[in-house]
Amino acid sequence: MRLFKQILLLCFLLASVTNYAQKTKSELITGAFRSADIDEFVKTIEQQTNYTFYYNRAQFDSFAVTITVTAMPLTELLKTVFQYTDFNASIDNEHHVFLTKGVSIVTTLAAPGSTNRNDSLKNARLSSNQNNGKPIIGAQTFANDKLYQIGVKTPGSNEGTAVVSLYVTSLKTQEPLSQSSIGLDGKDDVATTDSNGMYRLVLSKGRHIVTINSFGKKAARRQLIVYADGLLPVEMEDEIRVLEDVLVSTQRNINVNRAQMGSERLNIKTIKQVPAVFGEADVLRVILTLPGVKSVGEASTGFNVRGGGADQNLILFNDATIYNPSHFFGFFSAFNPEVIKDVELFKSSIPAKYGGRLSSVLNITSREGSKTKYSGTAGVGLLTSRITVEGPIQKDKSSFIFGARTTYANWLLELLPKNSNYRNSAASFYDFNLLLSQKINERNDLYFTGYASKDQFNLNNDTVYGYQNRSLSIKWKHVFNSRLEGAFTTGHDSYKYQNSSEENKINAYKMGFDINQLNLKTDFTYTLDRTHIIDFGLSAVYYKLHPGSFVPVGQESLVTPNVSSPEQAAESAVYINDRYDFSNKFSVSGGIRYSMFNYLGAQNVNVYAAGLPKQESTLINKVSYTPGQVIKTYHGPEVRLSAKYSLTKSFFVKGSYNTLRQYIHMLSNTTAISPTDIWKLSDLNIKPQFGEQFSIGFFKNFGVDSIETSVEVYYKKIQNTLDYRSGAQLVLNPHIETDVINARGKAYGVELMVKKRIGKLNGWMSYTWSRTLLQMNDPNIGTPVNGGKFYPANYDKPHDATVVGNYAINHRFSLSLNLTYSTGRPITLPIGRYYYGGSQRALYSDRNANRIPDYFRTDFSMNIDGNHKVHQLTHNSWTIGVYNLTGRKNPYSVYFTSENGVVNGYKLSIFGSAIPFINYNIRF
Amino acid sequence: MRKVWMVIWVVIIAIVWVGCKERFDPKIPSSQSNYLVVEGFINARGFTTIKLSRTVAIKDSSKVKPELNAIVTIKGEDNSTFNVRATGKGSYVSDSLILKPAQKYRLQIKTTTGEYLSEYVAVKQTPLIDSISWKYKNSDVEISVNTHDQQNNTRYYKWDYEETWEIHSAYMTYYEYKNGAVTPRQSFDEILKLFYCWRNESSQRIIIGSSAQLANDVISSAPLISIPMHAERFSVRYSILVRQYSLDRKGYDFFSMMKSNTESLGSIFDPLPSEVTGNISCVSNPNEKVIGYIPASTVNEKRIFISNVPSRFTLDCQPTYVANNRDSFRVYYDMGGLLPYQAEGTPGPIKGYYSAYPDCVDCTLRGTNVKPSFW
Repeated sequence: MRLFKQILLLCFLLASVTNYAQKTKSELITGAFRSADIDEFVKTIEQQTNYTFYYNRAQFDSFAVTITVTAMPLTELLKTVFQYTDFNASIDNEHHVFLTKGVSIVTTLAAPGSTNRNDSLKNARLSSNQNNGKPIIGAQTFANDKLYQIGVKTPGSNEGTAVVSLYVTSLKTQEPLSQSSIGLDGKDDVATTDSNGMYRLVLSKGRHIVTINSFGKKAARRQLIVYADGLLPVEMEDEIRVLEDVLVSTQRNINVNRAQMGSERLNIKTIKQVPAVFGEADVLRVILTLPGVKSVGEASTGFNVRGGGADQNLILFNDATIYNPSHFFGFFSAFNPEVIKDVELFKSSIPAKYGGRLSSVLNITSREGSKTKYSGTAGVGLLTSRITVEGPIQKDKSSFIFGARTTYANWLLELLPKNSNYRNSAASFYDFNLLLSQKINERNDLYFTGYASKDQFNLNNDTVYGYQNRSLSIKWKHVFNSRLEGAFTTGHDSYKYQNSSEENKINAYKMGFDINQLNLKTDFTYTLDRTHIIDFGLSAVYYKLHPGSFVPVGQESLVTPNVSSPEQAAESAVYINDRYDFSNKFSVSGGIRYSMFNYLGAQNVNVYAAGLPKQESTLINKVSYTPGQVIKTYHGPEVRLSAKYSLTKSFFVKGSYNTLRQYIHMLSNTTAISPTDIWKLSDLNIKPQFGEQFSIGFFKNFGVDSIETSVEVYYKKIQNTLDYRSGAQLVLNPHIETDVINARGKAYGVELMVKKRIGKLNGWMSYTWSRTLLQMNDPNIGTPVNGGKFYPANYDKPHDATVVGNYAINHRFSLSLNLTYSTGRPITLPIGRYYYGGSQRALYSDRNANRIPDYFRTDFSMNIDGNHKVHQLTHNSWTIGVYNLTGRKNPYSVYFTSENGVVNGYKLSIFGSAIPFINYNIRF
Repeated sequence: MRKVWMVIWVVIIAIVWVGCKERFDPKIPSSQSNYLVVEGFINARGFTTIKLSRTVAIKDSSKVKPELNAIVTIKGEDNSTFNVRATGKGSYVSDSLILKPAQKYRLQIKTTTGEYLSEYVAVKQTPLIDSISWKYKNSDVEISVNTHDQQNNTRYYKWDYEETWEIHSAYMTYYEYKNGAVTPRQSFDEILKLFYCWRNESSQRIIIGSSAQLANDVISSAPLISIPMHAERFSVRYSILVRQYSLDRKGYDFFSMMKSNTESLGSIFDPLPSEVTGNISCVSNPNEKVIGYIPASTVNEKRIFISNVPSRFTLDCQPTYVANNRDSFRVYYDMGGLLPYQAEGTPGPIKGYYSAYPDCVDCTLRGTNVKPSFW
């Protein structure tokens, strides 16, 4: 298509020579243009004359004119304005003006003979309306040799620098290709494209050669002549047939090129290679193999990053906040692997655009559907099945991708022994994803994401548990000009759970909790030049939370309805971040985020006597607030600083300092996230959490950057994290502040990592030594845990080592191995026992003074792809493997319980043997 | 709620069917905990029984370490005092008392090492038990209690129970083996006394319930105990005596915490074990830990009998035929531990004896042959 357009433009050029020569009745124009863009320029002329202009706006994006004219004929004006440029204007007899951009550079192409001027005119109108097109096959070879002109040749356009925005897409699917490697003038790997396939290359004006490499694509080369800022779309042709939803990026040099530290990006292909229990690729399981990320145990999805709590992770799925990222008691994560593109975890220097949680940001991005053809995948596993369908809605302009997943675990429950009480149980979950994307034009993109997940289970027809996440978001990306681009996002997220029990008619109840949030976000990126990029934006979140309801079910139920009044709050933030490279060696990223939290009415607020422990007895007053009234405001700056210094070309030092604030807290007195945990907003009595982290890291690459090694050290302080009084009642407690205790924490550690991203053998090895300690230092509490001394957090596992390896024997067959070792987590063991109520009972004292035995696990899997022939109806693949290959009985917990009058100690393992799995995937 | 999570945990383990639970004895550093444990309640109408003991190291061989020689007194806010006298083994019992409903009472304990006081508590009047009901739940018999308080005053309840059930030997034993010879038993009463017995068991778990979330103070089918229907308890006749106490909110919290600390299944959804603090403290050393909560209430009890559960319980007692000669006796009776119960060959010369293990023929080894007064 592009070629076709070029040809048409060429025709015009030829035609315009004659047009200009023609004597047209020129009309007179008066006006003052000050840096007027093409639209303004044309509009002014069209208002004063009866001429109609035709032009491709994108081609004129760098056009700006400053001129003052009085009664100047149109031809004269056009001539003056375009004199030193490569723009051309041609005028026909029907008062049409066609503005085109220099195409004379196309010298290798024979001009097609079109002598009929009316024909070319018709085609020209066509071309001016069609900005998007798919190049015809063979265009790439041509494109590699062609000289592209960026910007307009004007006087002085050979001096200084210009920003060339590269936009790398797949020729076949039009999907943007992130992490494509960009080379400049013979140097490889100067930069990589971002997740939108974009990179702003800052160049000296003049001639350059840009090379682009993207995995599975033919290398592309572009010869440029740069006069001014401009856009260079690059479409990459497939090299060999790779299955198109597997987006593999080269990702070389990522670790070191940014001042950013403590972040990891994993694409779905990597995630799929890591063996997972039941064979279902699981985003969160893979995250747990990264250094600095831990969990309390096997059946928990909550994860802990560098000593932070499970509620201190911001989990984003296409900008939507996901409150409960797990299915089925944590055995599966709530993200369908077939729709995920990549996953990025920030654990140290968190970009200023994110906020609201202390420990980390897990950013999960979904794929865009193919804009060219319909396709789908289906997968069958032991416990789950999934299907994905994608395709264009309007070819080359808009697309959809839809994914669904469900379980059929009920058959397993049916297999339980007859005399167990759980045969009548049922468990089910599902999740849906829908992503619509629309390319309005080259400057505007619109995305819609819908996400829903639900879990429901009942045990022996008694209590029914259910929880669900729902999210909708709309994102509009707009390129203002080649230096400024922005994204506007709005969305609604909700999480709720509902439990009910109707077996006992007198006590039949329904219990529920929900949290809803409305988000509004604008993010801008302004590129001054290659060495200087500024990000800024605003965000606002409105929370509405129903802390709990307990209502009767049925006529006979005597349950008193107990509905806590809803809580509402607004969290808003403004941020600016400046990335600046002082030199090739030294770059700095400094940002500040100012966040403000307003706890809003209507609400009745408990006021306690100052300086006394918050107890029911010290409750002195209850104050009523009207709807929308601000009850309490917390605000403060958050600092995000990081710097990089290159000691040699492949050896870097990075340092960072971050502070964060968190205004929403998860209340849970269990070790892991459980479906009855609730969230609580900061209010008059519960202060926001505050965290700060220092970290320093050394990065060294070997080979041609194929082996990356790193050492990172961190120290972190957390204030006002919540712990609970013994026997705290968290749900439906009208004075929850009397049951929670402020604690502070400190965490420190060293993370070592060796990573090989590319090659037949790839993977990573990591080792972490870290400690996480908590302390109840509030003087207003009577008996603090461990007498107010520091005690280890539940997820404090000092030693942690992981090996994740993948070996591709050939294109169709690969082997993966995963080894994990960690110190056992701390537990509270009894210090003695006593006799009470007809039984011996265990006596507990200091919290978390002991540990369960160490953890070790080996997983193995084989990935077998069907043949890679292009033209076949379906492509098949198998994943076969074994989870916990050595069958080691890793203890999940150690506990003591009174049975038949005596205290017995038990060790509980979730997987007591090796678990084989098989998964079948079909792609159509 | 927590209990259900334990149940869920069990299901998870069952689902992955390879999960496993095994006995585990971690090396716990031995500590010298020697805290006073106080169990009991101030009975507003009747005998008050208080049991005093001490905590022991987890590996200690003794079951209970009773606290002897303490002086225990019930004290009223009106300065009234009532002695609770030691009856041995750490038990202390008062006279049958009638305490004033409007007064508050507490317990004073003076041991050789210190003086302990419980907090003053109001006397709560415990409502009557409406009924003890039972039903099948899968293959279990679930026994539960129903009660209500018209005045809506009680709200927090605690129960315990005594089970009694009749047991039978597998065989009536007409012969006895003594001094190397088998002789017929002389009295039919003796034969019956080895065949008909009764067993007793007390509750070992903490059972509490609350109607705090209901509009009326009604306890409907609060489960007390769940027994497999084919258990020996239902093989003949079963009886349960349920005692009902009332608690205040603080007492309820204390027992629910003790329950979750010591009777949990160890799932991740359980709260972490935490320290239990009751309403008793040491006067001379307020930081000394004392385990126990002393409420004051009246107590009500109710007994039911269950005899129509179609239990398929049988004792695993295969008869062994032992020939009537000294060598066989030596092998089976002296060395093998069997006992004869019936002769083969009568009338006429006895060829041998049907024999079984003592448990199968002598029910007194498993219970008592004294018929309970209520039977």
